Amino acid sequence: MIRATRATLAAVGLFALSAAVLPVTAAAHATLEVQQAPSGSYYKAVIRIGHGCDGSATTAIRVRIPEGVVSVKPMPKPGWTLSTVEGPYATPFVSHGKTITKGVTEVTWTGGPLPDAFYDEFVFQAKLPEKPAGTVIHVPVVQECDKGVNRWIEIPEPGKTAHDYKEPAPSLTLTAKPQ
Amino acid sequence: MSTARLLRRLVCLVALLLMPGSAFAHAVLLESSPVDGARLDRPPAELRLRFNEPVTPVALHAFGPAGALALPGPAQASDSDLRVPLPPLPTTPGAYTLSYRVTSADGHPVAGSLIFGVGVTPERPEQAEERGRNRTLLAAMAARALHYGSLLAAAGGGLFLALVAPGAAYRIQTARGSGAGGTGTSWAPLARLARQPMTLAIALLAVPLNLGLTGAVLIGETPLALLTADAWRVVLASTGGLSAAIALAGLALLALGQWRNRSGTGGGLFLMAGALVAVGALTTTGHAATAPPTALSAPLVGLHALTAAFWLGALAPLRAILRHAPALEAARLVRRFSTLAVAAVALLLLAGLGLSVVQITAPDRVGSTVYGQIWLLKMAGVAALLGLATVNRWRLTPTLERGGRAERERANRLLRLSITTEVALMGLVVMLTAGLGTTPPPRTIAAKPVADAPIGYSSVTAAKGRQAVIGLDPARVGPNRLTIHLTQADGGPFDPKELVVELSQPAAGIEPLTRRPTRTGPGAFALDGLILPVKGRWELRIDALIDDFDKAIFRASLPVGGG
Repeated sequence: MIRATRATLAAVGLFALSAAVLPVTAAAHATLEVQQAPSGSYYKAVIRIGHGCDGSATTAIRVRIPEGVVSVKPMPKPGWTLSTVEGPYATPFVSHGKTITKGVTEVTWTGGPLPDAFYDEFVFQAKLPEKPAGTVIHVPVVQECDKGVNRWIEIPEPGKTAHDYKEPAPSLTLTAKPQ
Repeated sequence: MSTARLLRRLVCLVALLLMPGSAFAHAVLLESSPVDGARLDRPPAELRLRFNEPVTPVALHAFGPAGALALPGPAQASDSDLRVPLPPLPTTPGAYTLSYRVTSADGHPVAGSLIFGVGVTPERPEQAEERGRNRTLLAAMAARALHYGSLLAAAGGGLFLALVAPGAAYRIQTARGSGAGGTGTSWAPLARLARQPMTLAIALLAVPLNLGLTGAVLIGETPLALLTADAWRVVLASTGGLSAAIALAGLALLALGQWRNRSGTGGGLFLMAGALVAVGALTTTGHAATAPPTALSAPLVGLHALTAAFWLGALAPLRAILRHAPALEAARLVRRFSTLAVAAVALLLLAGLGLSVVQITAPDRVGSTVYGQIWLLKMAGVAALLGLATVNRWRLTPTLERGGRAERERANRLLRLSITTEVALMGLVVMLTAGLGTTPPPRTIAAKPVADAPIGYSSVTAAKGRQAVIGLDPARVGPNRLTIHLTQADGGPFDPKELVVELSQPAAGIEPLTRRPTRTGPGAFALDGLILPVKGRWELRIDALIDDFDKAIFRASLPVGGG
């Protein structure tokens, strides 16, 4: 009896720990693998796609590069065609003494298809903006499938969190810049 | 008493008896955003009015707590939607009123007001200024009856001269030129004997009178407003202006025909063309001619008016013939008219039946609407006319042809009496027709989903710099209509790539119902037959996709009352 209770406690504790540490909704949504990164650092964004659209296979992943995220370099992926859209930056930034006014604003991988039953990752590298620690950066992702589309683009309104939404945009939180 | 004077008296009498209190709208306001009487949490950027048919704004005035508001720009009309931009309003509580006056496609005015409060529930002020407007309307209706009557009489007289009695001229006794007590004789063409020039003159005067008073009604002023430039500017821009131009052209042709016919012969072609053109004027305006499907309505109105003109316009010449023509000639012409009239009356009744069906839509609306009641009175007049016509054709006309001398003279007298009665009845029928023309037909009333709908609920919310005005009607348990109007930050319409609404009532454990509203215009969406099963506060969420990666989420809490 005591053993059973202890085992139960252990299980509950482990579950609570995992809930606190692991991203809660990893399986259900499109998410970023690493959800914290230093301000102004080069960041490897890994977008994790855990399922299709209501069972339909994924045929395209489109990523909107958020404001302030620059020097974007997507990683090619066998079986997928990679394309980018370039556009002007809302706020130009200075890199190695040069002012950069435009760059990649959208990345698209088309191909697959990635069946609903399988998992895959889509990667790009980018430089994060230099903003105060705690700033949340949302990376809207559109997942197109044979049938239907999932728009992981919901950005929480004030007073709400990603849990209040069905299709929240993947996000990461900036940490302090290392000195 | 002359025909025209008789007509005019009848016009005034019937107008006084029948004028409905205030119902004179033709286009009907179907819905507005915000809903009339709504209490809003924040001021809207614009107002939207949706009518059952396309409208043109004439006068728009907005009033706030501090008095009249200057509207930042002209109202924009697209199809049946009217968008009225508002200046930036303070968020402090206050009630606002929009007073609007628009013309509908059939050239009739629609006036009303829309009241809403920001942070307060607005109170509806008493309607006070309806009286003066009704006087204008009455005058306009009388002018319209005069216009109809004189135009049809002039056109029909032309048809009679051209088709029934070409070249008719009679020897009449004259008192003139032969001194006291003596009488002479001279030849007079039928047109003059039947007072056609006078009818034509009245018709010519009635056109601008009718037009000016219609303009006065359109701008909502007193009858004297027909002297103002505004009244004319507005009415000339409506279908009434075109109709008047066509009527004048037709009357000019008729005048030319009469001039060519001054010695009793010739001018037939002009008379017929003039009659057709003059009658054609009636097919371009009024709710009978502009009722959908217009491809059917306009020709029906034309046929109805042409055959009515044939009958109405024949009365004066027939009476003149009975009075002045030799007995045999009179009998021959009466028979000739009678034969043509049977076909004309059959077409008249058929066209009238068709128009009635289009306007009244259902038998039970005959007794229950003002339009239906006026229509019933008109039908009573028509029945009396048909009764007289039957007696004339099957009793008096044969006697006129084959009776003995005394019988013939008696038939001639009776026929003239009958025709005088017909003129009076025609005046009544024309008057009632003008009344029908200024009363909203059941067709337009039927378009209103809920008569005197209980005040619904409106709310204004913003997201991502865009604004959504949300309306729920009637905001009660059961089927509801949800309307959404979206505007960009710059005030223009916002048409999202995709629009999805979700309604839930967490307190009652009702999970979101997801619906896709249909687009009803630029930035305008509606969801009909939205069933809300329980009362309480429903949470509304609207997802408006700005582009593939960005969406605006509007939220509102909608109170829903019990059934």
